[in-house]
Amino acid sequence: MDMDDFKVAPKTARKAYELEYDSLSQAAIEKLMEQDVEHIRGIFGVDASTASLLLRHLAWNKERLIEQYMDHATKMLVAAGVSIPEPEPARPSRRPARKPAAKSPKSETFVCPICFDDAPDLAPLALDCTHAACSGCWAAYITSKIRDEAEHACRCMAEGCALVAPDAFVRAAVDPETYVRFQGLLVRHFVACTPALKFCPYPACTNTVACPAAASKASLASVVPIVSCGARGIAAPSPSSAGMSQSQELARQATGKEHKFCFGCIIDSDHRPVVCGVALLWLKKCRDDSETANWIKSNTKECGKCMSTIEKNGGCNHMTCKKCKHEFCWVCMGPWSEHGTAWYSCNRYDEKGGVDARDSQSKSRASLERYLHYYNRWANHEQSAKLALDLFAKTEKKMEEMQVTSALTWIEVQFMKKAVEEVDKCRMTLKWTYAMAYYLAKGNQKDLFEDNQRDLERAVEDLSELLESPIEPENIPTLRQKVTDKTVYVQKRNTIVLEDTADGFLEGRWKWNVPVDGFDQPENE
Amino acid sequence: MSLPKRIIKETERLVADPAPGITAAPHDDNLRYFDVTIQGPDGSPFQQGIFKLELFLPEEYPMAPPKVRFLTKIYHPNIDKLGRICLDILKDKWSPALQIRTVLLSVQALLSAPNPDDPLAPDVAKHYKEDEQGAQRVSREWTQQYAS
Repeated sequence: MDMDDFKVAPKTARKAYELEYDSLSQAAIEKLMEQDVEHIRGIFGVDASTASLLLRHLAWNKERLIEQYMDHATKMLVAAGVSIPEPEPARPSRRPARKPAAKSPKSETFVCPICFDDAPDLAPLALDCTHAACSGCWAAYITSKIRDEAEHACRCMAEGCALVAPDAFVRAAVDPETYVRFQGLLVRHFVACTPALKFCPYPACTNTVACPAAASKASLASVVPIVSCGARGIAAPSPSSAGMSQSQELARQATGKEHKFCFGCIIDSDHRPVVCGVALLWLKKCRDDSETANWIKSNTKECGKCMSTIEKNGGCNHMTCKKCKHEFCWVCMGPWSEHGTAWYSCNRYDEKGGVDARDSQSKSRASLERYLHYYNRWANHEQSAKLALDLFAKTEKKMEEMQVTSALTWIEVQFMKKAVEEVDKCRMTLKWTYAMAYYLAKGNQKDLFEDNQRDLERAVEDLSELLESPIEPENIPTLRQKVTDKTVYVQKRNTIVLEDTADGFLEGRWKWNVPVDGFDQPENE
Repeated sequence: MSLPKRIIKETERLVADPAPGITAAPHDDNLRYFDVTIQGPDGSPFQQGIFKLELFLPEEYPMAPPKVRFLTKIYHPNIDKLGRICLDILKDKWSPALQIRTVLLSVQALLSAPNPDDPLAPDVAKHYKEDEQGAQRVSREWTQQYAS
């Protein structure tokens, strides 16, 4: 018998809770970028460097770029930092400080206007705008832009000059390591600009996933786009790895967890069956109690456009999001543009916000009991899932024991491992079903959902218990039979929960007791 | 920790050839920390006031902007209770080609040209928007009371 015996259905048929997606390496993304650059280069008849600066300026939106470039080519080139604007007849100067001190009279020795160094061997370096500085300052400037600010568009150092350093200039200015970082930033920018792409959130992973089916916000009300970037992380540490054979070692590596994450939201694990909106609601609710969350809550806000978390550590209320450059007011979170023309309403916001906060507080106290019911079960599964590592180590030990005490081979005792994996997977599902149930509106649908949940939970607990039971040489065959049967059953129950929930989303069967983005408003009871 | 040549030269020039209405002197024990005074520009409600400020050059200077803060209380829509200043070149419009002198001149210019459309002190900005004359009167009073 081999592991295939455990598969319920052949892998070819895609289940309702699975989505089509592609995993791409950084090189593959760079190729996509090259294709876009090549495309624009062909149409506009410009060089590759110009084409890529234009594309970056317009967030890789080719259609918009072509349209705008056809209308105002010169304006676009200036805005993208490719060329210098034509000198205007009268330049309105806001600041009185426009003195030509930076450019010392062109004497025989060059003085860098940034570090004021005048060593004779100093090499002046400039973009097309001829604002020269020494190579050391350029290196420090571009390195600080890339490393400290994570900014890929390095504009000329001269005040008010908007020329952007082309890639070749950047490459020449900085050390190879920083240039690699620069390329990484470009890839990230491209991925961030393309709705059908998402960067793998796992630390140090450079893969990207393409999932066009989940690219729009509206689609997230009907699908849960759990994807894997194709890379595998560190395998569960095994206490007995010293005495392992080579095949065991290989098998251990293969069990390294996949980089599984959600394409639609920021959760970096599998949150099926529940959709992103509800999962996020739940996580936010759970985190409201923790210290970190309290700090984040009181010190940060999310950008209204790209949802990046922002800490305001100084300066005024006119905020510019580092990531998407959205300008907004820190007090009312409204777009800044509205503040400039019409007078702003920040002062009024506080009063209303205060009332809302008090309202929700009393409400949450009333429903605390209900919440705790769901939370305890959620936390229990999460805790059990964390203990899965221990269970895994224990199981491995058991597997070794079995090889010694019975005639079973290593391959044949794999049923234990398979069972542990299945339990782990199902606990994940169960955990999120509690988040879902908490927000489901009362009614038949919720009852059916909770029936499925109960069946799965019961099966999982049974299997868990079997795995913990002591092994006697004489009962190994029966244990093996039981575990195998139970594993198949648990797998089936899990599929039922996932599939039924996914179908429900597609059919619009689920109703919530709170407003959720992309769904109808809840009916008042 | 040795001081970069840029800071030494800037300091020399600031002392030797100060900008009109502006003084800046480094602390003896920390040459990156400056005591600054700015005269209120003529024709503004801050006329005849002498405003004290502090200026600090961070480690990254000139790649990062200096940190500037008013120490004297001032009634101005772009300067808040703590003396923090809302000025683009101190934030995202910073360029390494700017200097202490240019920064302080810009701060001085901000006193002549308050911008209530980009406020830091909302109540002051509102006052300036709705009743400029009255707001300027308060600015003058504060100048007399705190900055002379």
